[in-house]
Amino acid sequence: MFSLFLIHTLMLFSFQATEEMKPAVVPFEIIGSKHMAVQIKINGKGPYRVIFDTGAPISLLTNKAAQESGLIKKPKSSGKDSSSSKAGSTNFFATMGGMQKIKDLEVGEVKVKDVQVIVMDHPTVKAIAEIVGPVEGIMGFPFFAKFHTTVNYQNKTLTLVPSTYDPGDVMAGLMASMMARNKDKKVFLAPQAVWGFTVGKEAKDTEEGIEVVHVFPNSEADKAGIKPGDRLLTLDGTWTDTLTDCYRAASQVKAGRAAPVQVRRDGKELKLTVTPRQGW
Amino acid sequence: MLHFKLALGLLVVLVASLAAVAWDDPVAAPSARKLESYHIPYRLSDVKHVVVRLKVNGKGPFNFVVDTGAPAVYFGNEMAKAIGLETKEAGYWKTIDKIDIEGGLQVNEVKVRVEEPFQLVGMNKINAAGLRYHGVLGYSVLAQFAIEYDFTKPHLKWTRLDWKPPPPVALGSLSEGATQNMKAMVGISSLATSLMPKKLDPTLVYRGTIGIETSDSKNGVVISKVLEKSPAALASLQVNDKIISINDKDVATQADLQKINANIAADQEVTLVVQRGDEKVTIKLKTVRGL
Repeated sequence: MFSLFLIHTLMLFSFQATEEMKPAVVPFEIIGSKHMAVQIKINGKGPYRVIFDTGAPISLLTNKAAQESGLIKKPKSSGKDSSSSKAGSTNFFATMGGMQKIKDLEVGEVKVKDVQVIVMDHPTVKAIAEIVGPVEGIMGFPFFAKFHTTVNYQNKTLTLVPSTYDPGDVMAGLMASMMARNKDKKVFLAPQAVWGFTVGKEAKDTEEGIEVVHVFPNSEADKAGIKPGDRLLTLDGTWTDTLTDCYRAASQVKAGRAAPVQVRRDGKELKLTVTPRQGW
Repeated sequence: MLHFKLALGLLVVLVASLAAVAWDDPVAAPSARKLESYHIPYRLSDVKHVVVRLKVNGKGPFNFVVDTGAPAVYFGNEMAKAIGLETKEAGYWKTIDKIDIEGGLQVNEVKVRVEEPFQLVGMNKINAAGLRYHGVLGYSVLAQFAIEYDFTKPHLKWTRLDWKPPPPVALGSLSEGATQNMKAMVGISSLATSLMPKKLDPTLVYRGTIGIETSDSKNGVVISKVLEKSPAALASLQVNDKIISINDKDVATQADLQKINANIAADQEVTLVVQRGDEKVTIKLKTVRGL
């Protein structure tokens, strides 16, 4: 009984380990427009060449690729939506195939389930295709956010390791966010841990950094050597030119993680390390 | 209607672009420091752009979209003015001696396009991203590094590569139709943003601190250290006090403590109930602005 349990645990463990550790390396091409292009398969159909775009909050697929791969049906010829198209030269709105989910997306040896794409013939994609040859879409945030992604232009490789980050329904979030007004909305900037110093900056003070006001004597900040009167320049690599920046940076540092801190004292810049603690 | 809104939205948030002009000379060699890694802080904007900050000549910080969909580095007009560059409607190339990227990274001799990317204008107009975009960081800088994106972490990891990325080259010209479509897109984007409400910036509130370190124990959250001269020390909180409640909200775990105090501003009165030995003690104190 015990040994069975042990073997089971080991199997589970090793399975997880290989699942997590084994990075998939996908080659990419730098096309004439200096975009990165990768080959994808949609529900087993393809390959299709698409642009890998960290600046795209959503993924796009052309009508052609969407129809070929069976993601959408052949178009109705009536052009029902075209009345909402203002510009005569572009039938852009009529080309909207809507939001679709790709059940099985393959990028190299990586297989991903349920990837959100918008089917549309985007003018930029069309223009790029006109110059460099077929391009059937853009892979953006909803795809690459699912991975710890490394982009290496020298080797022309994309290295993908599954991440625990869940991008969720990006499109819905995007639209909600764009339509939001934020009237009377308050956002608290909350450090995740206790460092042990207070900060300030006068409104007329436009110099870089902020002022360290008090350092509590037996705190981690004190142990690390931060002194009252120091000019705090960076915290965990973030420029702290405003209180907001300082608070934002501290909100990203969990208790127990050593974080670099840079201060200026008597004209000299010092690099210190603080490991903030759990508390308030 | 959903499609219509969706389409408008998409036109607004997609930054992918074509370089208007190519340059012929090679990109300057990366500096002699090789294969160094940098932890670059980033923010994910409200419309899911990866945004890093940079400074030029000590001015800034400016917010830049990390965009493999852009062939070059674009400085928008607002930023160009702030760093003393002239702006021209058609845009122009300019070599910038030194750009500081937040996280301690410096890139030198960067050829940038001083030109307002129209996509940013629209997004800034309605504050779609929840922060102001000043420019786009594209291929010519990104290709000098191996860049790791992991959204479970607060930093991107950039490792300098030992190569000179080939510069953008002149592209074939677009057909009349494609050119018109691209122009139409600028118009539609501008129309779209005029139809959308401008998002207001939320009021940011700094959370206050009281100066205690705590440990999770089986039976609750216990003070493990009171920082000297902190509000907690002045209010006589003691080591081994178990926190029962804050402003009448029960505290059972460290997560409770974190959740409750995350919404208590600096310079605010709070009431703590702690268990000290057999006694329940009520303590009032005022938070301070600090970490």
